[in-house]
Amino acid sequence: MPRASTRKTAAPADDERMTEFAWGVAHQFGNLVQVILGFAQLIRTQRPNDPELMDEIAEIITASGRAKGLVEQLLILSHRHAVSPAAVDVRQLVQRLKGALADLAGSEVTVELAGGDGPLMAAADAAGMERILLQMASCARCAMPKGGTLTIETAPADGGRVRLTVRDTGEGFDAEAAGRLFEPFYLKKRFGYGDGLDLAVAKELMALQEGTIDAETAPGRGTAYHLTLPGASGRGRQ
Amino acid sequence: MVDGTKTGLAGLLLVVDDDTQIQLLLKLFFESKGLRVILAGSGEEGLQLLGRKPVLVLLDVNMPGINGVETLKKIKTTHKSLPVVMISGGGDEVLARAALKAGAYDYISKPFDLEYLETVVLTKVLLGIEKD
Repeated sequence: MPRASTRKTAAPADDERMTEFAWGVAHQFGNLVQVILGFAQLIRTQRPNDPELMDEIAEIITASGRAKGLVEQLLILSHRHAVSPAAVDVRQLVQRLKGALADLAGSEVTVELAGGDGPLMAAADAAGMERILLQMASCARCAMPKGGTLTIETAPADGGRVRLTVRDTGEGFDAEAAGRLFEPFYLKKRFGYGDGLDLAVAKELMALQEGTIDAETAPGRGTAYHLTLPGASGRGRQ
Repeated sequence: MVDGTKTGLAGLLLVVDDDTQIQLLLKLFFESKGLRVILAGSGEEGLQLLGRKPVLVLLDVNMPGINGVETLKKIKTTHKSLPVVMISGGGDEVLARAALKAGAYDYISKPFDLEYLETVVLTKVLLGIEKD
């Protein structure tokens, strides 16, 4: 199967301008979301006995929550996100997330964990890894609309590193798509995936942790995302 | 949510933010909790209002003129024990962490839930619950 990581097409100066643009949009949009969300919450506290109004306010708050998530994604892509790597047992983390991963992957998808039971320590940002894995579960749902299996395998890798493989049994991607999976909005535009930023954000978060992510895919053969992190043997448990 | 009118919370909050809609939001919210609120649109204006003896300052990180961190440092030179909670716009986390080093009590990132802000401001700071 072809193995593809992010295709770099932009010159560094273009990339810098785009990240500044993303930050500016996220910053301004975040302030607007704050006003919309805040006033909706304020009305909710002041008019709790108006059920019809509460239903409508709930819709505003839900939409604001989605907008807030988009702001967070854009901020990560603008290279201004800070991570705090520490010793993390990735097997424990995946085990703890299994229920949430199953919820996000949908009832038609079976979630399986593989690779062993003992601690496997990585130098990672736990919150960042949670975000990545949950987003990948959402992607798996899109990749397997008729159901399938999402497997997350954890294993030691070369050089003392740690590898997580997130594998779906979906339809896989052709060579063109394989080369563009990590581009912002590509999967949204071509395949209708989520907000179109999940894999781009995953790549950025992995890079911030001195990690890597690449994809192995082919039509009819599903997709395996290989994530590697620095090991943390001797750093103790999180 | 904590109802300040029932808990007997009192005191003056100083909100420093250059966004007038966020100023209004915070004013209405905390006044509904029984607190009094004064507003400043810049760091300079906020410093001038310290004489009103606020019990807490909510301070935006990213503002024109002197930014939130510089404003915080000036506050701390004359009002060392006055708790200051920084409000970080998205992507200001580096500045916000610098603010913690400069003596800020905590920081929250926009967009935030009012309930969370309330937890930080009312239950932890004004009710005197120990910071985690």
